[in-house]
Amino acid sequence: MLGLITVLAVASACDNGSDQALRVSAASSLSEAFGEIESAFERENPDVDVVLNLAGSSLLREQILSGAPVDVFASASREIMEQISDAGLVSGRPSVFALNQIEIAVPPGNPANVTGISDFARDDLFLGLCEAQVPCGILARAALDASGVVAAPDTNEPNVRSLLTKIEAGELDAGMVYATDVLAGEVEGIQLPTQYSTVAEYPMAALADSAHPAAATAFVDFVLSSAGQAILARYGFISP
Amino acid sequence: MTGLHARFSLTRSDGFLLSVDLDVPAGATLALLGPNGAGKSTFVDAVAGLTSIEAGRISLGERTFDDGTPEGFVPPEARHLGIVFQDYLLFPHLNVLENVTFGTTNFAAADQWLEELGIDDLRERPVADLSGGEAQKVALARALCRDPDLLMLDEPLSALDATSRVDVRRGLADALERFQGPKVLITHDPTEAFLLADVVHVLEDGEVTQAGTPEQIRLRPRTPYAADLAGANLLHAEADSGRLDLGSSALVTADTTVSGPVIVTIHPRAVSIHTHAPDGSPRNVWRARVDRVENYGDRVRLLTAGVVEMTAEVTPAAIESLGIGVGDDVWLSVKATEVHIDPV
Amino acid sequence: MRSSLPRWAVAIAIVAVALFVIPLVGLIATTPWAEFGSMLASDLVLDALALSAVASVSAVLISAVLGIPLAWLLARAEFRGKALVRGLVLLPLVVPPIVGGAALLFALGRAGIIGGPLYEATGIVLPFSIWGVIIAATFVSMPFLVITVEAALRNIDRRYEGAAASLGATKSEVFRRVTLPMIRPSLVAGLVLTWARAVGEFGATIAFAGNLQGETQTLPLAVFVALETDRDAAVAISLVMVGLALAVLVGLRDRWLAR
Repeated sequence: MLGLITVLAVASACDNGSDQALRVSAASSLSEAFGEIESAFERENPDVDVVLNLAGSSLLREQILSGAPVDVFASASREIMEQISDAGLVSGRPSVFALNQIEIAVPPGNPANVTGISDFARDDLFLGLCEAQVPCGILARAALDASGVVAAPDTNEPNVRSLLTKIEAGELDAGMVYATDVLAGEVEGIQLPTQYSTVAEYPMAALADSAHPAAATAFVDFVLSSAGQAILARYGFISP
Repeated sequence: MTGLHARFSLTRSDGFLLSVDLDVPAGATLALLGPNGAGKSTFVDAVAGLTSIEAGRISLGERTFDDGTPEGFVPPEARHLGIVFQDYLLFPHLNVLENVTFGTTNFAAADQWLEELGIDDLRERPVADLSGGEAQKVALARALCRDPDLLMLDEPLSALDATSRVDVRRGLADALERFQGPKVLITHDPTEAFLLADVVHVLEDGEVTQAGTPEQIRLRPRTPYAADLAGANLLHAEADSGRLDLGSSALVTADTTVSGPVIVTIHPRAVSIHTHAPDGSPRNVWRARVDRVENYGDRVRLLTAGVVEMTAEVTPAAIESLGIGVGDDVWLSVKATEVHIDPV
Repeated sequence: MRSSLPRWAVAIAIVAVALFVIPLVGLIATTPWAEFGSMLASDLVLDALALSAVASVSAVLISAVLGIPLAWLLARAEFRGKALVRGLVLLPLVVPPIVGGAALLFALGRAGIIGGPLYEATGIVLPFSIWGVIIAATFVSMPFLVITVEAALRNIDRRYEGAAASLGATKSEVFRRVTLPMIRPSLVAGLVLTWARAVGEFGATIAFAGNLQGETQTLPLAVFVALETDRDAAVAISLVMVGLALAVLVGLRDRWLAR
C-alpha cells in the first residue's frame, strides 16, 4: 500500500519531457539544503531532472523496501541506510556526506529560562522530543542517557518538523532537534556540552535498481564535492 | 363575554391576502366554508398564533391575542386553544395517551375524554396503528382535555372515508354540543357546515363573500361558488329501504342500504322543471310554485315552494323556451339516483 | 434476495464495496495472528484504546450539546451571514486535519490568542492533555452532526411543531418533546458518523495535542508511530480499530436506525 502511494507520487512528479528524471529520496531534515543542491546539480547537468521525495527516513525506508523506484537515497540515520544496504538494494557502499548535531531548541527569548539538558527532567516545563524510533528521537535519548537525565517529555512528535513547529509557537518550552533545524527555524539553540553531544551521520547511496546509474553516481559525487559540502554547511551541517 | 373576535388582514409570504371579520359568541359554532386555497388554514394559523396578523385584532373575551404589533402578539402556547388540525397531526413518536396528555397534567380529564369518545381501550396504541376515525377522536380528546377557551376544527372529517365519516360526525356533533366556549369549524364540505354550524361564513380567495345562517346561505347564495357548493337542497327524512318519509310527502332514493333519520341532498341541477305533468310515472314528481328567479349569467336558479322547498338550476335558454316566471306553477321531478342520503 | 435493480448498477455497487473490502483483506492478510493477543494486551494498545474511547465519546457529547442548537439555528432562524456560518461549519471537512490542528494550536495553545489569556487566568493548558485530544476530535467531527441534523430539521413537517405549541409547549419544549424525537433516525445517524470520525481522527490531534502514550496517544497515533517501527503492531492495532468501528456501526444501525 505504502509502495503504491510512492509510485503514484513519483510517477506524477517526473513527467516533464525527455530529460532523465533522477529520483532522490532524502530525509526531511535535508529539505532546504537539497533544494539548493538540486538547482546547482541541474545547472551542471542540464539533461538530468532531479525529483526530490522528502519524508522521514524511516518512511522512505518503507517505500524503498516496498519496491518504490528510487535512484538515490539520502538518510538521516546510519541504521536505516544499513537496513537498505543489507537488503541488497544499494549500489556500491554508502558514503557519509554530512553530520548533524543534536541541540536544545527553545522559543525566541527562551521564556522558561531553559539552561541545559538537566531541565528535561523538569515536570513543570512543557518538553518535546522526537518519537523514540525516529533518528532525532534516538539521538536525543542517547544524549539524555549519556547525561544521566530521566526526561519527562509532554509529547513525542512523529518528526522533527512538527516538534519544531510546537517550539516555534511557544507551546513547548524546549525540545531536542538538529542544529540544522535551529538554524532554519525561528527558535534559539542551546548547544549541549561536548561530552553529551551526539552526532547524526547522514549516509547516502545510489540504489542498485536505479534506472539512471550514471546520473545517480554523479549526484552522490556532487553532494560529496566541495560545492555540495559548501551548500550543506550553509544550512548547519558539519562536513564529515 | 368570552366570544372570539377576529377582524384582521394579513399577507402571506407568497403574496396571498387574507381579510376576515367575524365574531363567534360562546356556545355558538361558526363554520368557515371555502374551497381549497381560499385561506382557511391561514385563518387557523392566525387564530392559533402560528402566524401574525398585519392589521386588526384577534381577541377571545377580554384577552387580545394579536393586534398587528409585536408587543401585542401572544404566542401560541399562551393562547390556550383547543385545535384539531387538518390531518390531526398526532405526534408519531407518542402513543395515544401520550398524545392526549401532551398539553396537560390533568390525567383525570384525559381519562374522561378517552372514555366519552369511546377510545379508552386505545390508550397504549401507537398512533400509526389508528384508523382515520380513531385518530380524529384522539385529536379531539387531545384538544378538549386541556379545557380550552375555544375549539377550532380544521377539516375534521375530510381525511375519513364515507362510512366512518357518518359515525365520526355524530361524535363531533355531540362534542360541539357540550363545549361551552366559541367553536370554529373549518371545512370545504357544505353538508358538514350546514349540519354542525349555527353561522356559516363563505371564504373565497382570502375574503368572506357571504355570511349568514346555513338556511340563508343555502337559499340565497350570493356568489357562483356559494350557489354551487352551498346551494344544495337539504331535507330531513326518515329512510326505510329506499323510501324517504318527509312527513307531508315522500321521495324515493336508489340508496336502499340506509334506514333511520337521514339528511337528503339533492343538487339543484338534478331537479328537472316541466310546464306539464311529465310523461310516464317517475315517482319523485311534485307540483310547486316559482317564488323567486335568480340569474347568475350562465345559469338560473328557481326557488320553488310546494310540499317541500326546492331549488332548481337550469340554463337561461331553458327558462326562455319554457316561458317561466315568478308565480308560475310548474312540475318538478328528480331521478331516484340523484337523491343522496346521509344518516344523521 | 433477488435484486430488482439493473445489472450495471449492481456491478458498480460491487466495485464500490470492493474498494472498502480490499484494504481490509490486506490488513487481515498481514496480521500476525500468533502474537495478536499479546500485542493487544500491551500497555501501549490498552492506553490508546482507553484514550480513544474516552475522547471519541466526549467529542460526540460536546458535538451534540453545541452542534444541535447550531443546526436548529441554521435550519430555522433567518439572520445575516447565515451562508458564511454554514461555510465555516463545513470548513473542518475541507481543511486538512493537520492544518486544522495547527490552527487550533495557534489559537488555543498556551501561547495562542485565546489559549494565552486562558492560561494566564486559570493555568489551564489544552495541548498535551486529553482536553486537546477531545477538542481536536470535536473540531473535525462536529460538522457531520450539524449537517445531518440541519437537513433533518428542514425535512420534517413543521405543522407538528405548531400543533405542539398550540397545546401549550414553549419553543424549547417543542424542540425537546416533538422536533428531536421526530428527527431521531437522522440524529442517531449523525451521532454515529460523528463518533466514527472522532475515533479515526489523526492529523488535528497530533498537531494540536501532541503524542504521548497514556496522555494524548490515541489509536490512530499509536498506529502511525508503530507503522514506522513495528509494522506488525501497526497492523494489529489497525485491525482492532476496524473491528471496534464495525461492531459499533453495524450494532447501532440495527438497533437504532431500523425503525
